[in-house]
Amino acid sequence: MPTPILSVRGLSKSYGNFQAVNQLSFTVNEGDVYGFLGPNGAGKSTTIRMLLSLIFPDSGEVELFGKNLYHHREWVLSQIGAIVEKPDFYGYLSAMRNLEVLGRLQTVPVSRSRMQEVLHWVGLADRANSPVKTFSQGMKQRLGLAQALLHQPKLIILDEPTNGLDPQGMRDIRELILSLQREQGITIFLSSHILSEVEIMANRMVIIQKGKAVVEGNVRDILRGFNTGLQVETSQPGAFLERLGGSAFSGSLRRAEEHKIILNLAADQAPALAAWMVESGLPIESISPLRTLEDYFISQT
Amino acid sequence: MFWQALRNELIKLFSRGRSYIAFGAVVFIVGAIHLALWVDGANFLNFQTSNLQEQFLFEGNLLNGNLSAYIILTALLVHIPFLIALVTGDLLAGESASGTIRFLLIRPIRRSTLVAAKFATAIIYSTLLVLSMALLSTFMGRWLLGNGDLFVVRDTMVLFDASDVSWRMLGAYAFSILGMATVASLSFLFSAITDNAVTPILLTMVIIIAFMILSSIDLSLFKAMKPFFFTTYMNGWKLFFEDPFSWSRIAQYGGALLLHVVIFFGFTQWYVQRKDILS
Repeated sequence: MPTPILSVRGLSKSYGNFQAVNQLSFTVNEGDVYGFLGPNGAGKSTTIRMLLSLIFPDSGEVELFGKNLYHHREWVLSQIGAIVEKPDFYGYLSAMRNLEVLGRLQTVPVSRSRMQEVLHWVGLADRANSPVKTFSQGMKQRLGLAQALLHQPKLIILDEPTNGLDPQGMRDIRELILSLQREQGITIFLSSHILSEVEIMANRMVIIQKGKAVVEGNVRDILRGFNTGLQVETSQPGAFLERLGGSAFSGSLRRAEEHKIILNLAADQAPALAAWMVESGLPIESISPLRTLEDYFISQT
Repeated sequence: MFWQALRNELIKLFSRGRSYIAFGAVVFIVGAIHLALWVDGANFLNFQTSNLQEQFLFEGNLLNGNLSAYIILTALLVHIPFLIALVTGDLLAGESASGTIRFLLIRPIRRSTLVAAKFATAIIYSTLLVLSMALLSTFMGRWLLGNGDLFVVRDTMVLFDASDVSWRMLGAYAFSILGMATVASLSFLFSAITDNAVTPILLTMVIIIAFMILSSIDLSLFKAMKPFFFTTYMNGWKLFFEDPFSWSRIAQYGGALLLHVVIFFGFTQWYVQRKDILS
């Protein structure tokens, strides 16, 4: 029986006449990588801010670790690490100084060795003493993860953690997040507007639209039968296209954009495609189902 | 947790170059005034006392460190609020504008504790600024112009013996700290209400300038309003240079300023407790 770690019941928030979140309910279990999916403006950030007591809801309840957030705010927050929207730091301070400032505000002050440990873990140990204003967006995102991990939280809430990153940066951050769950057993609550990102990372998810939950459950169950193609990334797109015609996947080409090739194939054909590429000596950077949230909403209506 | 938060705030404050602008300005202005008095002080004093010289005979060193400190107090206390608002108006609004407020408020610290730590930082900064002005003008004045009796002309003409000046100066500076704490509290309140760093500075200065202008106009309506302007009480430091000296008036002026500090800080706390962090 899974243990609920975060329960949201009937959460609502409006700004004037605009209903940002409307009677939203969902449950995150211990050990989940939980996807919180919705198009831009669906109410994801407002919900996340309410989960962290940055915004006060008009109605509804938020229970974390079995305790009401607003009655046990300090204790609950001591168990959570988070990045809300983009990670903003004090640019004039070094990465280490930023962590010191944030670490001092924990219930138990964080040791310097722990700070070095998390900086090492996110790959910023060699930039610990550099001012954050010299960091790239990807480095700031990694430092954001470091500050979220400082106090060894049980739950990490991440608001669109790959936003604004280049493909390599996105991959790095995804790997870091997944290793958190795998290696440290931390429950992850991850918001995104990219369906394929949630599909890659999450085991359960809720999809929201206009502040309301559309569907909640196991990611595979929700997305079963829903597919709009496969995206292949290879460093030799010319050779790929040349050999595709003589393969079992002939005729599946939808379009090719530099290193990205879109094929009209089902997700379960990905292993066979990968095997063919290996046999043909074609380098594989990635093969992923091509799905957009917009496609999903269209498929449901 | 308060002390940890206060330590954080002081580290942040003194890691930024802009925090030192006010100290630089004080050093420059105090230095320039002293240098000018050292070079041309005799002519300046002659001009200032030209009417009185027909009736009085002045003897001894009237152009001294005490007079320069008094002149600087009179001149700078009008402008120091701007330098204070520059930093204290940024304490909360700056965090909102840069987005760092989110990282602070998702920590297990009460909002009230964080606000109290930031407010304490504002008061410490204001105090340090007035202290730097006090130390600099006292020591530079004594060094360049020497010690002597203090000649003050306000409603009446008063001459204070050199031995009677130090404690009055100390009292005036202590009172000025309270006056500047009131300014800091006001800009801190605006800093909580707005999410950009410029508005609190502008609002604070607009209010101070407006109150000062209205106070100086000799109309019955403005005279009736004067007791409700906190700027009226900021001039309370001058009471230390009155004869007869009145502790009760100083207490009255100081109490009025303290009440403003409490009201501004109380409202800031009330507001931040209820504020949705949307930045």
